[in-house]
Amino acid sequence: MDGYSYGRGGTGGGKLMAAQLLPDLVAEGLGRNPDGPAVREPGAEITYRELNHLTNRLAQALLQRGVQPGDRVAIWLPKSINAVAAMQAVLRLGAAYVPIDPLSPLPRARQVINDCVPSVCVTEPERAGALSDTEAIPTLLLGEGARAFDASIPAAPPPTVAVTPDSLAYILYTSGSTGRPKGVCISHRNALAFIEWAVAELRPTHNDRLSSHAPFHFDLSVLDLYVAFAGGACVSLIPETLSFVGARLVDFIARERITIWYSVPSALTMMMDHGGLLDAGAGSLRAVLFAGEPFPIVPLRRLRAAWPGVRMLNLYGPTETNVCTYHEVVDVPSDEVTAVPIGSACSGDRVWAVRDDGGEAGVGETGELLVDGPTVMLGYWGRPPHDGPYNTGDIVERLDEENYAYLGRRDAMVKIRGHRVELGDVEAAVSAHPSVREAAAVAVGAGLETRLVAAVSFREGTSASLLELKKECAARLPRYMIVHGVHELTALPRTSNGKVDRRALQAICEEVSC
Amino acid sequence: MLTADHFIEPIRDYIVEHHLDGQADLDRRTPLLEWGVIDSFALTDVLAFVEDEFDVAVPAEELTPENLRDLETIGTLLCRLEA
Repeated sequence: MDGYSYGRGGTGGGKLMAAQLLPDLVAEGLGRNPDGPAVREPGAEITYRELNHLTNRLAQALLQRGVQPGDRVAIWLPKSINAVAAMQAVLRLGAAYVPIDPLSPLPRARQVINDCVPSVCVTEPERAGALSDTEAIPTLLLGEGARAFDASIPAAPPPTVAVTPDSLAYILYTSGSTGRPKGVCISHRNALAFIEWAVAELRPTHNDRLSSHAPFHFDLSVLDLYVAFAGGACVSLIPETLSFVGARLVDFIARERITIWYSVPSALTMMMDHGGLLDAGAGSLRAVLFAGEPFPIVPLRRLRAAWPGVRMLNLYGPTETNVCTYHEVVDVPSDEVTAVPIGSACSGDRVWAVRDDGGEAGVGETGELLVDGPTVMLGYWGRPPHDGPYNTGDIVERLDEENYAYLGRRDAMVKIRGHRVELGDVEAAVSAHPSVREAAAVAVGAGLETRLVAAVSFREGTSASLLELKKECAARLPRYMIVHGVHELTALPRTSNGKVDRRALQAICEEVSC
Repeated sequence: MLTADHFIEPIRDYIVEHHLDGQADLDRRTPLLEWGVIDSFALTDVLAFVEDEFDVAVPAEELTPENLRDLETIGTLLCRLEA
């Protein structure tokens, strides 16, 4: 194992991180900053020492419920200190956690929970009732003020278990093209390869405050939590309902004295357009990272010019590989009209582009981006293990020997505010409504204003409201795949060979949305 | 003393017009977040309307999934904030 030492940025020996396993990072934070804040949520804060104790108690409680190494444990909780500790407790037992979107309606949450076959579900009392209707999954209940839950359970560490860096650490569910939820399985080694790169790049210390903007079931959250832990820094949780309320987020950055911010570009443009971000000044910020979608060049240029002292990093990588390339935005030339590059390989990975004819793309050529290396996932849950390089489905241009620019997708996947949306899944969900004869989905608009629209033709004499179709989507899909609008057509436009004419459809839907 | 109804009808009308294509099948208990009637993005817009219309500031810590669940809970929240 050539493992977990740093090749880059070394100042003469000494690893920045000794962790072999993901749960070791809280222990590192504990060693560096025992009585400093580890995690903050609105109205509450927990130190590393307290987090360590809470994590041990939760691990003991999970052990009592029969959790074994190799098991999965679903975490169905609001974004909170409790959820963070529960995730760490699962790891300490050698099991893998599965974050469930706390805002998903019950049918969708159940679908994901059942898919991963958890041995325990950690949740709140009010949710547990709903779960026990049909499933016999044991629960660990954390309600309001659950940090008092400790009293009867010892805070002793759970027994050591045999876990290797290649064991499963967590599963993140993402949009699948088959209608079935698709769980991306990430090992300790996969996650640590990325975290080590990010730690070497950002050098977090106990003086840092990281924002946690992304929900825990979204892979951006991995950096927020674990880079903070590795440095003994504090991570400040942003509740999901606040995550796109521009002015509140700007207040949050100032009040929490955030030093490292990481989010989808949409959240930053929202703060610029509706929260006065640039007027507020950079405050304590020293690094702004973004990923998940291209950052539109015009607002990025303004941000870059406004905050010359802040590092800005564009990170790239699907959930299946985590972050595999990055580009530091040093300057945005005034004549540049396309998005900044996704840059060059990181996290110990190798990336290259393959042309349509199968050959490797040379400088100036385009092709599909492939990724190989330590961050590439173990595979999808319940399917055969992944082997070899990962085909991203993203079309890139090779700019020079090692840098790439993102051009688009080779399939019908689109991004809405950083989330992957498979249009086929949306179409299947909308078509499940009994009044729908046929449906096709398109993404209209750009950047922050992107909307998901279903073009629908109804069965004769029937109809369905937008609300009814939203409900249909909500029962089957992640929340970010719920349609924003419906456009009724007597028939979908077709090409001469009978396929749905997506280009015509796009034009029709763009027009009505304006 | 204002009741929840004072707030609910104008908010309902606003959401129907701006986020539901004008179709009026939204009731007081329709789950707004779960069904994506207001997603985290649309929330900014609805919140701006509420604060403007009723001249009330909703503190960040009150923007919880429980308070935003449906029109009824939003009405109850605003009553509490006005009191």
